[in-house]
Amino acid sequence: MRRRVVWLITFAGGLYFLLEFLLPEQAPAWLGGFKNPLTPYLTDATNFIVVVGTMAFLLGPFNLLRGHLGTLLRLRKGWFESAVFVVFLTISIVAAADRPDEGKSGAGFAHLAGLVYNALFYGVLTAFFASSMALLAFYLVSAAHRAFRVNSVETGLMMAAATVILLGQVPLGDWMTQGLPKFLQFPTMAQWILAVPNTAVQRAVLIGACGGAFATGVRLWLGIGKRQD
Amino acid sequence: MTHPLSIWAGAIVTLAVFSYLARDNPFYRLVQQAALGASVGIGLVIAWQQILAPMWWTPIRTALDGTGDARGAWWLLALVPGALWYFQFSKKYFWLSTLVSGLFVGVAAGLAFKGQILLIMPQIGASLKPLNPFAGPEGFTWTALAQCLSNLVFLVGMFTTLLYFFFSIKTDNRWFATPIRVGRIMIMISLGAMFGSTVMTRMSYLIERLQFLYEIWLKPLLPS
Amino acid sequence: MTRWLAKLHNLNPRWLYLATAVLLLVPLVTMIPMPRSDISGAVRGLYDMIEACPPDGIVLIDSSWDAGSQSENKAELKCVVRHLCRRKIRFVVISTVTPFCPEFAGQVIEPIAKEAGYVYGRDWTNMGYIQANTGLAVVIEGLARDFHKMRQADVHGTPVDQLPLMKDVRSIRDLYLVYSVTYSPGTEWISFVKGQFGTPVAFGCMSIMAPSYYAYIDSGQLSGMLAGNRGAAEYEALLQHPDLGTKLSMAASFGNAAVILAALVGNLGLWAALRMRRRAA
Repeated sequence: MRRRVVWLITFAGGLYFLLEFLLPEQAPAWLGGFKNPLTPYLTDATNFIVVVGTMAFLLGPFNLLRGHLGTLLRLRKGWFESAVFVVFLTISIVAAADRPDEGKSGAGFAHLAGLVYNALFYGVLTAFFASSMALLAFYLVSAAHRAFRVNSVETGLMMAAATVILLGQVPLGDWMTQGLPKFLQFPTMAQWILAVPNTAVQRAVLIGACGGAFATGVRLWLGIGKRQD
Repeated sequence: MTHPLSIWAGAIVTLAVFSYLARDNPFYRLVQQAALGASVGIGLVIAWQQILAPMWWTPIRTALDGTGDARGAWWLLALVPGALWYFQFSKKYFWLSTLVSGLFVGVAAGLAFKGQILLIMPQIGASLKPLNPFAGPEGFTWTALAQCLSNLVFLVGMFTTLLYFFFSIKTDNRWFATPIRVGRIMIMISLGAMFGSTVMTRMSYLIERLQFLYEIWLKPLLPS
Repeated sequence: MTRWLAKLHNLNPRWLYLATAVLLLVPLVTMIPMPRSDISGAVRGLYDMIEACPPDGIVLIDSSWDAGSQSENKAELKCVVRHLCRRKIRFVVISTVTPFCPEFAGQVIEPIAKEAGYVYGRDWTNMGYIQANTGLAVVIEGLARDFHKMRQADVHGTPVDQLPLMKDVRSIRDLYLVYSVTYSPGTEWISFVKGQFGTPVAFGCMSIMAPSYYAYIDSGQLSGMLAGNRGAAEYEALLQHPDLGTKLSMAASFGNAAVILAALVGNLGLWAALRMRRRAA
C-alpha cells in the first residue's frame, strides 16, 4: 500500500509536466479549440516545488550538528574541531542575520555584524573553497610528472591533442607560432580540434546518452525495477 | 572585501590550506571546520532570506494580518510536504520522506523527457553537413574545400564514435575493425582536448589564489 | 646524463609544487608582453549578439558562480557586463546554484554599473538566489512563464513591483538574450529557453566544460560562449579593454608550460631509469 502511494505521487508529478509539454497550447478548432488546461498553473506548480525543495535546507545542518555536538559533549577524539565548527556556525548565523543592508554601514552591533560577515564570507569561506580547488593544480603537475606516459599511438595522439590545446589557448602558443602560416599556428589548430573531432565525439556521446536518459526517465517515472519504499 | 580583516583572514586561510601540501596538519583541519561552519550558517540564513521568506512566509503573514492577498494563507499547506523531508531521521517513519522525494523524482523525470527532445533534435539536424565543395554560392574555393574536408572528418568521427560506443559489434569483426579503430582514435583526440581544458581550469584556480596572495595581501605591505 | 635524468623520475613532488608556485608568480610580479590572440567564433558570436541588441532590449544574466569557480567566471562576467554598460543595455541578474552567488555577482557588477552611470532598479537589478537543487528545469519553466511570481523580491528584499526595470520583464518573451555564467551552465537553458521560446542563449563556462558545449555552438543552439580566461581575454580584446581575463591568461601560459614540462621530465626520467635498469641487467 505504501509503495503504491509513493508510486502514485511519483507518477502524478511526472505526468503533469509531461502532459503540459505534449498537449498543444491551443487545440485545433475541430477538437474544440480548447487551451492547454495545465499551462496556467505551471508557475504555481514550479513555485510550490521550489518552496518545498528549499524546506529541506535544515537537513544538512541538522545532520552535521548532530555529529559534531555528540563529539563535543562527550569529548571524543576531534572535539576541538567540532567546537570550532559549532562556534563558526553560530557566529555566521548571527552575522548574516544582523548585518546591515547592502551599501549601508549600519551602526553598533549591525556594523560589527557586517564586518564579521565580510571577514567570514570573503576571508574564510571564499579563501577556503578557492584554495582547496587550487590544490588540484599542484596535484596535476605531480600527476603529469608521474603518470602521463606516452606508450602507444593512441596515448601519443591524446597527449599531442592536449599539448596543442594547452598551447593554443594561451598567449605562449600565439608567441611560439606567430611566424608560421595561419593554419599551422597553435590557436588555429586548437580551435579546429575543439570544433571538429571533439564536437563530433561529443555529439555522438550526446545522441547515445539521450537514449539512456529517456530509458532512465521512464524507469524512474513508472517506478520500474526499483522499490518505492 | 577590501577591509584588512577580510584580507588577512583570506591570506591566513589560503596559507593554511596550502600547508596541506606538506602534510595533513591541525591548522588545516581547524580552518576546514571553520569554513564548513561559516558556509552552513551563511547558507541557512540566505536560503531563508531569499527564498522562504519572500516566497512562502510573507504571503502567509500578509494573508493572516489582512495586508495582502487572502489566498496566500494556502501556502501554510506547503508545511506538510516540507516537513516530510525530516522523517529521514526516523527509522520507523522513514517511508514518509519517500513521498516527497518521490514527487521530486517524478517531476525531474517528466521534465527530462521535454528537455531531451528539445535538446537533441537540433543536434541530429545539425549533423547533416555539406560535403560538396562546388555547391557553395561562389562555386569552388579553397576555403570551401577545407570546410568540406573538415565536415568529412566530423561525419566520420561522429559515426565511428557511435559505432565504438553504442552498437554492440565484436571488435574482431573484419568489416568494422578499422572504423572502430578510427572511432577510438577520435575519442582519444577528444579526451586529449578535454584533458588540456582540465589543465587550464586547474591552473586558473592556483593563479587566482597566487594573485590574491601577491597583489591584494603582500604587495601593499612591501615597501614601494 | 642518463643517471641524472633517471633521478628526475623519483623527484619529491614537494619540489614540483614549489617550482610550480614560483613559475606562476613570475607573470604576476612582472608584466611580460605577449602577442594578441585571435578571436574565436564562439566569442565573436556573443559579442555580435550584444552589439546587435536593440536599445530597449533586456538581457538576463544567470550569474551562478562562487568561490569555487571565480578564477574564470569572474573575468567572463566582468567583460560582458562592461559591454552591456557601454551599450546602455539593461540587464537582470539571477543566481541558481548556491546562496552565495548573488553576493559574488554584486561585487563584480556594482563598480562597473556605477562607473557607467547605471541606476539600480532602473537600469539593472539583482533578483538574488533561486533554489535550483530540485532541478534547474523547474526554475526556468517558472521564470519563463511568470518572472514576478517566481521572484517576488530582489536580493535586498525590495518587492518586484517597486523595481522600474521589472515592469518590462514579465516572462522570457521580454528578454533579448540569456547569458549563463557558472562552472557548468545547464543545458536546460538551451532546451527550455532557446528550444521552447527561441530566445538566444550564451554561456560563460570553465575551460574544463567548454569541449562539451562546442556541439551546441555548432548546431546554433548556443549563440556564443566564453570558455575560461581565454574567452574572457578575447572578449576584452574586442572591447579594447584588457582586464582580468587578459592578465590571468598571460599567467596561464606559465601554468600550462609547467604541466607540459612536468610530463616531459617524467617521461624522460622514466626512459632513463628503464635504460639504466636494462644496462644493469
